[in-house]
Amino acid sequence: MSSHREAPSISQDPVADNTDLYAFVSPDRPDTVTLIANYIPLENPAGGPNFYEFGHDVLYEIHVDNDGDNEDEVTYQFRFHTTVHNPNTFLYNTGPITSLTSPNWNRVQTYSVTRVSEGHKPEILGSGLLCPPVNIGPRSTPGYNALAKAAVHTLPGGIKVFAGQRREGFFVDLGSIFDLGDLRPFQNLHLIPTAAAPGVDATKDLSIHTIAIQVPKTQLTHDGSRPTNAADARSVIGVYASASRRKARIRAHDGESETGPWTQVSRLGNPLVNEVLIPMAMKDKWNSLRPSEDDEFLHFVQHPELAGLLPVLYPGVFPHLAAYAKPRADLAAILMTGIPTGIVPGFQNLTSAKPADLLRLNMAIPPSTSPNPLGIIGGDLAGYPNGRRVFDDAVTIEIRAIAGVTIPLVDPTFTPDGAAAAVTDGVGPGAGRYISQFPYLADPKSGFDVPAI
Amino acid sequence: MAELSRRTLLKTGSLSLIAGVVAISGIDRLASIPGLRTSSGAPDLSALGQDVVAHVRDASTGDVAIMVGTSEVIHRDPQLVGRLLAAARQANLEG
Repeated sequence: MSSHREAPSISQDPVADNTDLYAFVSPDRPDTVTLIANYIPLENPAGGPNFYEFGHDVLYEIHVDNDGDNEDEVTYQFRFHTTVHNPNTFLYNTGPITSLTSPNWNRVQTYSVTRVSEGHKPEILGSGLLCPPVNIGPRSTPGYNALAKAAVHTLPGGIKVFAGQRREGFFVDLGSIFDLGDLRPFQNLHLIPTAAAPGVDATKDLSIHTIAIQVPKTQLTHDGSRPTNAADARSVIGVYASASRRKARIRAHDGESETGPWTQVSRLGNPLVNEVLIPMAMKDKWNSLRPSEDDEFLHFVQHPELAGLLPVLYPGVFPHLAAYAKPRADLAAILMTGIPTGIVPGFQNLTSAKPADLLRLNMAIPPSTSPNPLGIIGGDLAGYPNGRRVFDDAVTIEIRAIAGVTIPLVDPTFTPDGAAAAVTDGVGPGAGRYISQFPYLADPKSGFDVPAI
Repeated sequence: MAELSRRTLLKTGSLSLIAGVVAISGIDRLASIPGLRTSSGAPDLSALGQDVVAHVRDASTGDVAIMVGTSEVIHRDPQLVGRLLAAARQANLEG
């Protein structure tokens, strides 16, 4: 949930709230890329009687820019349809759900996947695809893993797709970070000090709704080529996810209807941008715009509020950061343009000099044999900000980057504070969050096993 | 003739005015939109089978957005907007 309830309007509309976006070369199928867009933050597994589900009135999209113009040349669109087999019961299921076609499963969601690519007619890749049920408990959803596996669909062209509930993959000490920037392992140094303590994983039992699609790399490059040269611009794609609603909604006693064009209400590229870099008064506007319109937000990346707060919240810990007054070219490169050749040996993911918040993946860099959750700042070129894997520690990476650890990449005269390379919220992924095959996020915990959070 | 209250007269008069305005200007307005003129010149009130929403975007210029399906078109039609605003004012009075 690197972007959850991050703006005033979308915080009132969880079904359309982008929470995370991942893009990475599939470790078990390295000729493909996996794109994952998560929605609906802070799902309590015990979510009955009307369990969490995708919005039938929301257009969910994953956008890919493959020619460096910050506009999407390839878009995958997902629309959901809900069927209630027996409207005369209040129950989501009337008995054990032992298959995706179980007659006991009353409220079923299916979806369509459409590929929209520049210069071509929209192509429906699949329709009537079944979501898995949510994970309720041993009586309602016994053998849940089999249900989830059955919901991985293979589409023409070597594409795999999944849409449904998963275990939340993002890990963070949510309670402390938004308590005036407290990092529990370092809170003895905070302006309002208490004894240092281990980080608390606030999301370890939560669920999320995941849209995942695995696509051959050649379907994502601009010219259909296979990306093999990391220095080649054609190897890099920029990705963002969004949610849109129809412009007008009409409410009546016998139901609701919508009309008008699709209007974007949420988007997400890099983790934590709208969450902690964009100011309150502009967050809703940011959500309504395409990344190609991000010029007006560059200032907030170049002069992040959080970089000014860290020295205040942790007196005496960040003196070098406090004295640094130049625009943060390092953050602009990481988040808004991509990193050009010559900054990080063996790596580049530059898409355009014009700023746009896109998650940029160099598809020519193979999956790491020894992944480091700290990604590039940990020496792992296959990790964030080269795309983003499900286990990358986005919180620690971005806190350290904002604290100055990446400034020397663009300004060798700067020496980061010692603390910059050490700060963390103290939370790791823990066990059981991920699986080694598509869709890479583990089965959600059941409401029976997690009755209260 | 029954005595009319001022309110009744005003109510009747405004609706008539609106109807009169429609009668005078409707045909000319409709004639300017391709495909909308029926053989008799009367307005085509057949339903589209889906919601149609008119949003007065700028009363001062007469800009009205018409939304149907996933489309939205902006028309500059001061007379239509005037009629919509008159109906809205009436709704405010009655509400």
